[in-house]
Amino acid sequence: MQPAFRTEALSKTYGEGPAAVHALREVTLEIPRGEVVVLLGPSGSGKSTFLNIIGGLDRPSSGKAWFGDQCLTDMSERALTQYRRSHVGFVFQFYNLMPSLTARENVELVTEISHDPMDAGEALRLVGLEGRLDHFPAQMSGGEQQRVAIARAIAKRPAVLFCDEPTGALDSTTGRRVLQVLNDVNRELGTTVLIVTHAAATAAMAHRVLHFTDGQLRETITNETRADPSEIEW
Amino acid sequence: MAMTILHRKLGRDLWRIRAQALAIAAVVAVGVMVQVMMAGLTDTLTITRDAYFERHRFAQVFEPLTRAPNSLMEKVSAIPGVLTAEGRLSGYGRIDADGGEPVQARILSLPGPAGLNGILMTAGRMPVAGRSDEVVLLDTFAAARGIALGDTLGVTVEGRHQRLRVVGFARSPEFLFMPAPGEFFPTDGRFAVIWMERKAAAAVLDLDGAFNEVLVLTTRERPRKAVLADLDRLMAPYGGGAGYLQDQQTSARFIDEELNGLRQSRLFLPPIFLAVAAFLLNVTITRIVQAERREIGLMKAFGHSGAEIAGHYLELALLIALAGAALGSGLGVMAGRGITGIYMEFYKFPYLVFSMRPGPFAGGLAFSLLAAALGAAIALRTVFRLTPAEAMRPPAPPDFTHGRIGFLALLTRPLDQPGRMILRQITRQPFRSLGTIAGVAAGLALNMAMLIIYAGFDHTMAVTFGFADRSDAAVSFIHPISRDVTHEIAHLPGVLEAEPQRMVPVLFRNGPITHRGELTGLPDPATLNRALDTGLNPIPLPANGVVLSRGLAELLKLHPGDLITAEVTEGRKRHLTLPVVAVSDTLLGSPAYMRLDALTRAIGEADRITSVSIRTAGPPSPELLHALRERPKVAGVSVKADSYAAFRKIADEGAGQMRFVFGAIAFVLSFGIVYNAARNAFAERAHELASLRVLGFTRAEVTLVLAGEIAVLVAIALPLGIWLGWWLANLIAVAFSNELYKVSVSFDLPSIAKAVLVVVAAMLVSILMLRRAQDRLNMVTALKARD
Repeated sequence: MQPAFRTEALSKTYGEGPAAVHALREVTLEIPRGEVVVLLGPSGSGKSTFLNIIGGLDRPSSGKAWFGDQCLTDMSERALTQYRRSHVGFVFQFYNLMPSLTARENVELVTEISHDPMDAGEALRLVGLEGRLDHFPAQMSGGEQQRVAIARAIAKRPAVLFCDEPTGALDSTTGRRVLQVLNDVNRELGTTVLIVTHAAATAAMAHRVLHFTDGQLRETITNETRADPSEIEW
Repeated sequence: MAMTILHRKLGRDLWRIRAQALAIAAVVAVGVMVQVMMAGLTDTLTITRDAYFERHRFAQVFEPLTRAPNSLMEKVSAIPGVLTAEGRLSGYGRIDADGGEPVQARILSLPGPAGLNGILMTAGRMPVAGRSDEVVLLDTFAAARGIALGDTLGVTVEGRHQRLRVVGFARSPEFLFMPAPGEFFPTDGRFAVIWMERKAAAAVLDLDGAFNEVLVLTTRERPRKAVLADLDRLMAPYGGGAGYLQDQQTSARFIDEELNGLRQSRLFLPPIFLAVAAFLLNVTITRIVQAERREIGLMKAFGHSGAEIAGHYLELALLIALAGAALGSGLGVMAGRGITGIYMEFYKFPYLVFSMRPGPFAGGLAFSLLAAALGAAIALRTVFRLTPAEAMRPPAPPDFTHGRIGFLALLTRPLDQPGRMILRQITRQPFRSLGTIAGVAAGLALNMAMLIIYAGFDHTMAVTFGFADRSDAAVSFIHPISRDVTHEIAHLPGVLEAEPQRMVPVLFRNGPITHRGELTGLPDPATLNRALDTGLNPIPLPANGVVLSRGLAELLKLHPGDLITAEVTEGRKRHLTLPVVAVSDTLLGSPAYMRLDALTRAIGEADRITSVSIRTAGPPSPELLHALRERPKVAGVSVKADSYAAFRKIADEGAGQMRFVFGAIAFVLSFGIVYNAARNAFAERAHELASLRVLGFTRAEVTLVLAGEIAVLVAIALPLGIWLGWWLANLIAVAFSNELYKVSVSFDLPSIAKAVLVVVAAMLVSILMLRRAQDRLNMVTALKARD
């Protein structure tokens, strides 16, 4: 089966000359479809940069990246927008909800521009928020807001879900609840889930763990047995 | 104060928000500019006028009469309150320029030993005593007609041709603003003043050993009105009794009107701009304080007091205001100097030095700083309230729960999500949205009102020269003459139609209100000069009674059905009491129309007229003008095309520039507000916009969310601004109408469209500038930032 993503010598450098920062150094890897993949590493290890590039939010300095058979690094600005619109969903540390829209409306924001979306209520039910449809972000807890963000990301039925520190702003109980939702999305919808985190314990729930250090992929570990998110401690 | 770290931060903050700071400073600058310019012009005009009047001993009381012996001047000097008095000789003549139309000339004896109504020699010399053919000529007339020192003029006075040699040029405070008789606006080449030695003037005017006008300077001990009353009484047997004070003298009165207009503009314009600037600073500082709450918390944690930190943001506001005030002061002086040039040209001042007291600068500066401080103060309350711990936590998402209830919920239901975001954003901070709407509406209203007023000039011209006065020229006579002359003139070459008129100078009186004006007698039915109603239909003149122009009716507070008293100030000086039958919609001048036969009967001079209006085939031909010159009783010929050109010149020069200035001012105001609103919305919501991009919204779709908010606010502001502009135009029309010119106001669509266009242009420029900022916005950085 064709992998979800494939990269070839992907590099990203910020700045020039002696001040240049090499955020990513010639990363070559493949990410299979339908897996939960955790990208681990300390701050500045390049994991977020990697995620941003294959998520279509940023461009590499050199190297190539493919989504299926589409070369992301050759795409125009417009094509990248279309890629984000149709194929991928994002979840961020700080939720990034529209404060002026209710939970349902935040999800509809995406379903209105998608081809074959699920119903907004259905997406919110999947993340366990069927009782909070008409609440504004100001009326919800951090965990609830993050689950709205997940519902918004999955409502378009994306092939891939990108999560950058999804539990970074949450306490452990709420964090586990969010990870559970991500796991459910993977299992029930078959969505490939990429989670960037520096919480090593999260690795236990992954099919595959990618260790980043100094902008390089140091190690890839495949978990024979996966832990349930409810068992994760950090 | 030493340069602290906070000051360094201040500099960097200013640099970061430079575009916004510039836009706000520009609004402040316009307010201060108008203030400084208007104050400077008021000062300049007042100081120059006072100096000019005083230096040339411009009379404070004028008493025209028919003829009085020189010996009577002793009695005049004995009137209590008279400081100095002089009897002078005054009359009218006609200059017969070769080829052109005859020009009317005022003939005056040169100032006597007391030097009242002195003249300022601009070239040449005074006539030599005993040389009765030497004269001094009004210099602006000479320049317009290309007359040089030493040239000889052919002048007809009292039916006698004279050859007069021009030995000097001069101007005088008496002739700062002097339209030719029967015309509304001054044209340099259309009216002349000839000063002669007293003996020579007495000879040509048949006033040997006599005088026919008294000029008086008064002491402070007695009211001038009382002096005038005594003088009127003394002079009544000599054809006097209708004297007037300086403020009724044409030149003095028009400068007063101008000063009045300047003071009015100064009262209402600058406050609008400063209020807008205060509002903009308030919104911007609020936004910055919100964005920097963590820094504020940090500074507080380090031990800075709330006052110190608030002072830091206050300095930011004050610096912007200070820059605006400095820029505005400079621009105000420049604009003032420019307009001073126009004034000098228009009012014939020999000198006009733009002068400024420090007051208006200090006032402009103080008011802009005050506005900035006020605007910032409200925003800075937050700084005092914030505790360090609270400040360093991310702010809770703004509360939009109001959007779920009532009317707003109904309004948002049919909208898509971006539409809902726009609407809820606008309604979440209603005061800010209202402020933006009010500011944009004010800018629109200001521009629209001025455009409508200027469009009124065109309307006035169209009505006056197209409907009310359909003649091509008017022939005036030195003295009232038999109506039969009309038929003679009708048969001159090229004349298609001739229509007689009688002008009678009177003092209108309604109770305590008086006004010096004229009764205009027209034949019935009149075809060339007509009184029109608001629908531009001719008003039939009644067999008995008078039709007042609207300006005059308003001035005298008279309505149809009332009685008006008209005291004739020439000839037999009869007092007429006439019913006001109708009010005409006359825009230029303030005539009072009567039927010619009724008027001449009432004053006891059957069928004598003072002018004949003619319609000609094409412009008046040289043959026709020659034929008119041959008639000694003709005082002058006023060609309508020339009056029209004079009016057009004023409208195009002065008003043309002002149209441009007000357009620019409106743009600055609209742009300042719209750009700031957009910029603040963008800064506060960079986060949301980046999220939308991540979610797969295109650049254009994201721009729409941002532009939509601005567009909705502007869309609400437009009708409000149009309503406000209409109201303001009417207010200005009332404030600036005078007896010479009635400002006409109509709901002029092209003017409104132009004003709207300026606002829309300001909006589009703002959106384009934001689009550039949005393109530079990095999705990843914006999302990683906590706020």
